[in-house]
Amino acid sequence: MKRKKLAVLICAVALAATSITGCGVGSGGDSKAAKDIPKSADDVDLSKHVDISIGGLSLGDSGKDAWPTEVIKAVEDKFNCSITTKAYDTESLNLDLTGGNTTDIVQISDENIAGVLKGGHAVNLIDYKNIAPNIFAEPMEFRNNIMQKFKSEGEEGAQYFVTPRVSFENQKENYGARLQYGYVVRWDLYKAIGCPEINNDDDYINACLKMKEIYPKTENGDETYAMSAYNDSGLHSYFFKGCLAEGFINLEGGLYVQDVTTNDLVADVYDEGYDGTTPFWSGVEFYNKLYKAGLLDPDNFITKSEDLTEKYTKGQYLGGTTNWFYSNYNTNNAGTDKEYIVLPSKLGWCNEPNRAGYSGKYFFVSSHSKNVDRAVMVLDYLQSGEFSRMSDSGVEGRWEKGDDGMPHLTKDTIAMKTDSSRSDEWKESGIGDTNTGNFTGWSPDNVLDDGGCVSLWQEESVMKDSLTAAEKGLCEQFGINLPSDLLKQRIESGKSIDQRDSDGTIRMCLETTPKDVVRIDSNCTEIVTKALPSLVQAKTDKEFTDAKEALMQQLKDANVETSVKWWQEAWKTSKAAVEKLETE
Amino acid sequence: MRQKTALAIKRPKDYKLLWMALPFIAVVFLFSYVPIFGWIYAFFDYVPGVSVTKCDFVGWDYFKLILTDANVLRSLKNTVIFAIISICLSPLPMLLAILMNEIRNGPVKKFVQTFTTMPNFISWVIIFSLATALFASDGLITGWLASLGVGKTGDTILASNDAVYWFQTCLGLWKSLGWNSIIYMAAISGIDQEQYEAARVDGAGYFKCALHVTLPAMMETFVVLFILNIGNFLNTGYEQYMLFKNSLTATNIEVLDLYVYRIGLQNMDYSYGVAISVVKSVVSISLVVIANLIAKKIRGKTVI
Repeated sequence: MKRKKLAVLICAVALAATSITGCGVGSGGDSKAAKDIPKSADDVDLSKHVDISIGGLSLGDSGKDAWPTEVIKAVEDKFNCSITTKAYDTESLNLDLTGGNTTDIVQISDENIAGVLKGGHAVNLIDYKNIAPNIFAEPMEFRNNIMQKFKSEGEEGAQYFVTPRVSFENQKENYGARLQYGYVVRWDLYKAIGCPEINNDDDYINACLKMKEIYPKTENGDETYAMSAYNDSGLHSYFFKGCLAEGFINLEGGLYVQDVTTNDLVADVYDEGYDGTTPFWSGVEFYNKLYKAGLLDPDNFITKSEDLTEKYTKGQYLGGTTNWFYSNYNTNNAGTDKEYIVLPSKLGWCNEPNRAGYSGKYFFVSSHSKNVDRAVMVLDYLQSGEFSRMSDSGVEGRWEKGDDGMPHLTKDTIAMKTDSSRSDEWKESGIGDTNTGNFTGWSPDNVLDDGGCVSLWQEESVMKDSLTAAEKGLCEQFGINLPSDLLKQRIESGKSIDQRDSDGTIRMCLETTPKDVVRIDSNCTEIVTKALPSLVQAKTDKEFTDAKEALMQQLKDANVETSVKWWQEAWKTSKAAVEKLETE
Repeated sequence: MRQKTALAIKRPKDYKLLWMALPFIAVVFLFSYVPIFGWIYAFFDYVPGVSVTKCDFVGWDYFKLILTDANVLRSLKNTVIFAIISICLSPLPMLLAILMNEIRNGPVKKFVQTFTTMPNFISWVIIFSLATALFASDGLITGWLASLGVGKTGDTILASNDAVYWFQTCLGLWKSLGWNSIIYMAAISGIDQEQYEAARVDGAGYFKCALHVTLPAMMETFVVLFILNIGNFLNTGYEQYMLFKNSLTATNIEVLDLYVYRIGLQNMDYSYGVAISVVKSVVSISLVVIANLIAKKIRGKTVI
């Protein structure tokens, strides 16, 4: 009997030990003794070839297509290393963090910061200041102050994170060649109805109605619709549409939005006391109008992104709000008028000064890395203007100094981008590679010492060369150089705005949302999702108002006011802190 | 002395069996017992990336939260409804096996068996795509029904909250019916043929043979599977429901497993997710014990 009890006890202890080991005892790696930290880049022994891995929530896996690209090879040669990238999702990242076996350089979002810092997974970059001149360069000072004061859990003299795409004061105004978001139309149909001016949602719906009249079915006999929501992105279809129409930027999830002109935080769905129309309600009203006009896809509530792409490819949609889903269709119809183009809405999604870089994308060097010094040096180089130019415009030779002393893309580089027979060469060049772009330090619009922008593709002559047949038709129709000039003109005439006055830093400096508020927000999102059909499919204004009232009551019952209060206070604190930082 | 010799002879045989069972014991230990200690997360405010020992101890807080969370109750209700429907339909695989047993044409029997078993190997993602192609507003079946005057053009069962329970059950049934009947087919093949011959001599036809010979012989298997299914009462899985969830079906389709997935993994609220799972496991174990006791009362013997 005693033996049996002893065996049970041993088993239980063994189980507990096994489990606790698996519970992530992985605390931070050994912090380097001060004497081991190199005093300068010369102290780092680069003779030994090492592997450096970069993983992140916004990154893809290397090994697909051409890897390493010319751009990455240049970095590898510089630091005698092989670079690979790894796509993380939330679960795999948490698993690797718990096990202490992340990649050497890791990109995380706001939700992971507490875990990374408490778990001691990140290296204090200030300790490596001597080998990280680009991270601590003067133009990065504001970003670094933000990282040190708001993303280091209050620890003095510490900076663990850097952000990509930091914009400096010398950033050039840039509207791009074409718009990404706004009122999407099929150019041939829009032209056929006489290119009516679109100033608001009602104008757009009328244009869609006219386009539907002349094109009720596709050539294959499929019914056409104005558009559909994409239901795999939560409430995005609704609030994002509203953000474009009303002039707001959404915070993650869309329950709260930021006014781009005043930088105030607005409760998007629970709009009690708000004097105006919030993006969510603007978007829902828009979809309701489409429904009442018979323009909304009947599968609006079951359509996911891939279904949307499929229907766009079949030409079933007359419009939309983003350029995300119709690239296949445009490729199939390249050179014809049957391409989709984007017309400007109230808000132009451009010219946002990301003084502290992109929010929600934080890079750190793992304390578990076997090559911390080299990883720091690589991360530092990714933060440089030199690398940023390479990332966006290619290695030197793909661009060269012109007679005017300014850097310009070579004709061959420009031709390569549009020549489908050279697509492999284009990929190998690494120019504009999304994966690389996600860890590039400088904004594409920053100006380098040579007088050229980081991205040399922003030159008007280059942008003009990249226009499609439909876009050229649009420019001819309106007498403009680039499709984005439509937005520029509207901004100049006061009909539209861009993001130049918005301050993304406030979003970045918000304190971590407490778990109970996260739970309330998640529950509210679920409640709103369930209420969408009754709002969008309301047949009369009264039905719509009743559905809205019912939703507001449900939100109130779900403690939405607690969430609103927390967000408003957190926003106020963050805004004040950023203002204080600027005056210091 | 004689006894000792007998034991000595027996022992090597027993060890052989033990060694054979060892890999399976190890697998069960690793995947079924070690994870139980993950329950510890329910008592801490777990932050991913931080050792659990360094996280704040919160005691029973997350369990108390379950009692105030209306979503738990709603998803529990949905889970129970799906489970009850599935238990009511649990004799269907047995019925299919009996029907297949009555097919005398060998190739036809094989075809039917393969045809009904195949869907089990199709992933839910593929089934969702198929269902969309068939049942979306412009889907094949929806269009056909509309042309017959059943339902309106543009209506889709995929966006019907009222149809969630039976439609999802039908999809699940279509996927698993053939596969689940295999065990009954095996039970049928174990029935002594003399019993059928005797029944036929007594004048029994196909139906009476099935009713009086096949069915009673399968009852033992059915009861064992039934009790095991009761243990899985709350384990509905989440893939199917996650794929078919949309704003119109959300109220009825969210089962407990899907809710745990949403809370635990999407909201990164691991501790709360674990707490719900712990309660679910305790309820499941209790149900198995109760079912086993009932089986003992009725049949005079237990299954476990």
